[in-house]
Parts: sequence; C-alpha cells; structure tokens
Amino acid sequence: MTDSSSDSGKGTDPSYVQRWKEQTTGFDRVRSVAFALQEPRTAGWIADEAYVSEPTTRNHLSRLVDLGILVTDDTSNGRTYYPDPIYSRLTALRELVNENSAAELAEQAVAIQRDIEAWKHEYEVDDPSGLRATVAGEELAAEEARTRLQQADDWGSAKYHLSLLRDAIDHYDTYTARPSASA
Amino acid sequence: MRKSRLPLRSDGGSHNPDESAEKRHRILRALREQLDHHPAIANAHGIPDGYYAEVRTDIDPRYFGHDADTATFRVTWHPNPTFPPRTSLEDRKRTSLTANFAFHYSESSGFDCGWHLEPNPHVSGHLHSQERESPDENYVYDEFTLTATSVVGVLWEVLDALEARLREEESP
Repeated sequence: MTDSSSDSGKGTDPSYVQRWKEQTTGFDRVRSVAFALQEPRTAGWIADEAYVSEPTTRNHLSRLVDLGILVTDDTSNGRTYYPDPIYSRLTALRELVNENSAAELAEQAVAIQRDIEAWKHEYEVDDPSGLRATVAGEELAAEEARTRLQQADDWGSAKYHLSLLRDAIDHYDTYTARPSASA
Repeated sequence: MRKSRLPLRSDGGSHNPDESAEKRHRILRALREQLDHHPAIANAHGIPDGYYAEVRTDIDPRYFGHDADTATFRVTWHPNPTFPPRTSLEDRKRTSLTANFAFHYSESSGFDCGWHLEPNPHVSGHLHSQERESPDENYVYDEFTLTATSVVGVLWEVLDALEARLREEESP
C-alpha cells in the first residue's frame, strides 16, 4: 500500500478504488484526475473522484497550481481547477523529444501530412469540420456516418500532433540541450 | 424533429475544434500514464506511431488466470463527440459522462471483450459491454453502470471489470 487509510474519509471503497489505491499515492490520484479533466472542476469534485480527503486534495491542488500544472478560476460556484495549457503542451513536446530522434520526428510529420492529404482527397473537403458537415448533408448508413465522425476527430488530432511535431523539430537542439559538465 | 444543418455537438455546438483536439491528446496521454501503473500492463503507447488517436498496450492474460499467449488492451476517448444523425446525448442512460470511449481487450486465443460508451444499435443508453469467443461470432451485448465520472477513475473501474470478467472462469 502506498496510501494512508486516513486519506479516504469514506466507508468501504469500491473494489476498483482499492486496486487504484494499491498502485498509486493520493497525490498521484489527485494529479491524474486533475490533468485528465474535461472541464474545470472544484476541489470537492476532484477529492470525491480521486478518493482523497478534501483538505488533503486542496493541499495537493495548491502545490500543482504553484508548479504551473493547473490554473484556477474563481466562479460563483467556488474556485475551479483545470490543466494549464502551456504545461500540457510542454509535456507533449517533452514526450516527443525524449522518445524520438530529430529524423524520426521528421518522418512522423511526413506520414501525418500524407494522411491529411489522403483524407482531403477521399472526402473532397478541406478540414475536419468539412468532413463532419458531410454526415449531416448526406443520407449515409449509420456505420459510415460513425466512421466519418471518428475520422474527423482523428484528423483534428493529427493536425494538433503535426503542430507539436513542427515545434519539436524547429527547436530540437534547444529542447535537447544539456549543460556540459564543468571541470 | 431536429432541424440543425450540422450535427449537434455534445456541448450544444459552442466547441472549438482545436481545443477539442488538445483535450483529447492530453486525456489519452494521462490514460497512457495511468495504464503503466497497472501490474498486468507493459508498453502503453499512442498510435498511430505515437500520435494519440488511441492508446494501445500489451496486457498479460496470465495475470488474470487466462491461458492465452498474448493480449492487447485498446483505449479511445472522445471528450466532445459529434453524434451521428438520429442519435444524441438525450439517448444516454446510466452515466452523466458526455464523452464517447472504448476500452477493448483482445486475446491471441480469439476471445475479445470491451466496455464502451458510444451509440450502438444493439443496446440502449450507449454504455455497454460486449464480448465474443472468436472473431467469427457475433458480439453479445450487455448493459453496465459506472461509479466513476473522472476519466482516470473510469479507466480503473473498467480494468477492475475486466479482471472480474476474466477471473470468472477460474471459480468452479
């Protein structure tokens, strides 16, 4: 166990929570719930979902804000938390640079551009929203409609990933530079 | 009768597609990181070629008492899905989640099973499990419920359901 039992404040946890707690710390759970948020949420919501007490969750969240991982917004429903878009982009870039050489990144960019050109040609549209519009405009079989909508999402992801790849390629030397050891 | 020309988005149409792509990418990276915490899982990676249209990982069937050589576990997550005509969030039951997702286990024995949240003509309310003994057979569908509403909570809840399903056959 990597978690203290006093952290929960609930009765018997569901079995998935027991396994999750065996494999992660309370801080890990708060961080991962917060970093995967779909919309801004309060500390109380995050505490309930991460199975960590609310005071402890608040402490973890304020550390994550100090570290630049989360941003806050004060709303009429209280303070909400959401991933910092800059941090999110940096972690995506770091992953690309750590796992690939500059040449591999360039190959991936070429492959994604090829996919995008193929989608444009196949559906005769310029972008993902154009592809989504074809689903409403034509009488398509349900399966074809579903495929096109997923393809449109994949196209959007491909465009986003291509923007990351270009950033990583343009600044590869900067992102991989390490200080030389002094004598 | 719905009259809008474009398919409705789950959030009513105000969504910025670039933000949606960033969100999907971030969520899949968070899921990949969580997968690495599970003792039966190794080598979780974004695909195709690291770009996060989905996450795929090797998963050890023997950990769950299943006698197969290899298995994979596939994860998709669409935070702001566009629904095909004649389907919408109003059809959704048994969960407040607005995303679409699929968690799917496939074994070298031919057996596969999954926990999905997405429109499917075979089941009402979008949230369902499906399984078959081999790729030649039709899927058997079932409804299920979720406690978790956070993305990573859903992952751990589905991994627990997978473990329960695979260990079922162990008991006499």
